Amino acid sequence: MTSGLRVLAVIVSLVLAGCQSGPGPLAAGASASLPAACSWPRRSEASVQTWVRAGIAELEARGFDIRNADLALGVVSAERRTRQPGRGAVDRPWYDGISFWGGSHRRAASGFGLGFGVGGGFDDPVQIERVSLVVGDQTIKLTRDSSVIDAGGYVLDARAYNRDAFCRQVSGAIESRLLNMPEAS
Amino acid sequence: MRRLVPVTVLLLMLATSVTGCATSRVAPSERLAVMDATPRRTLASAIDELVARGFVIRLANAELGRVDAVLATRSGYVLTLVASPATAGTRLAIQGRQGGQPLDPARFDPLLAAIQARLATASPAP
Repeated sequence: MTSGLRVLAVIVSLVLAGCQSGPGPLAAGASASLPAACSWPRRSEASVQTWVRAGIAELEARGFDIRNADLALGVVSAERRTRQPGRGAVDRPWYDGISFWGGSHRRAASGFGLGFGVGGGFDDPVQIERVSLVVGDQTIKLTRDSSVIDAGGYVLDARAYNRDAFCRQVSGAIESRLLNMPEAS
Repeated sequence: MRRLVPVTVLLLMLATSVTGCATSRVAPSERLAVMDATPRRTLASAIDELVARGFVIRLANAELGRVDAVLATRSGYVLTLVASPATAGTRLAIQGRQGGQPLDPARFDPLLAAIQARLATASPAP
């Protein structure tokens, strides 16, 4: 093998390596490495109903819309849409387009026109965060994902979005809400 | 006759390019498994397993026996789990889509096995 071919092989393998993706979330033994703060023990004696109430109150206070809640399974699902001004605007021209038109008659007149449009494509991309709070027998778990979608519906970014800081804030806030919440009888 | 050849070639190319566009929307097929537990416990274990895998629960309803889970990735996952009481235990059906395309039901087997393992290790609830 000549050195040129060898270099080519390395380049090709490097390019292809970028396409390799890890095992999907459905693979055997797959587990999302949730940050420690996103799964915390259920210390308080509060009932599932009280936990769900506190979770709903806290998520709503953070601007989430509650999509579903179930007391038998202890699940709260919520969603938050945040505008992302400027994100994804890099590739977009600030004008809609320029058009030229013109024409001339053989004798009488000639004309030329120029028109351009500004605006239109200024809709900000929207980040959609989906979160679910699961109140288990021993532990509470919080999972979140995020997708950023531009005005045309194109997905700019999509990922699991489990962040230690977010989970720590939410778990702490829910626990403190539990202290102030009367137990439903 | 000779003039017909380019026309025929062009028509053939058009025909082959158009056939690539024909799509049939296949109904997502589901994977079934019978679990030795009540529907509620089956769903609770399924939720635990899905959350451990990073899924976000979109819908959970014990009365309907239904759990929807999603995960945003480059082509997002949407899973639907339906639990219904069977003669012995619970029948759990999973179907799902990835990026709008139905998922191969065989891909749910590891998930079903993991749910089954969770049910086996968990202490039987009263």
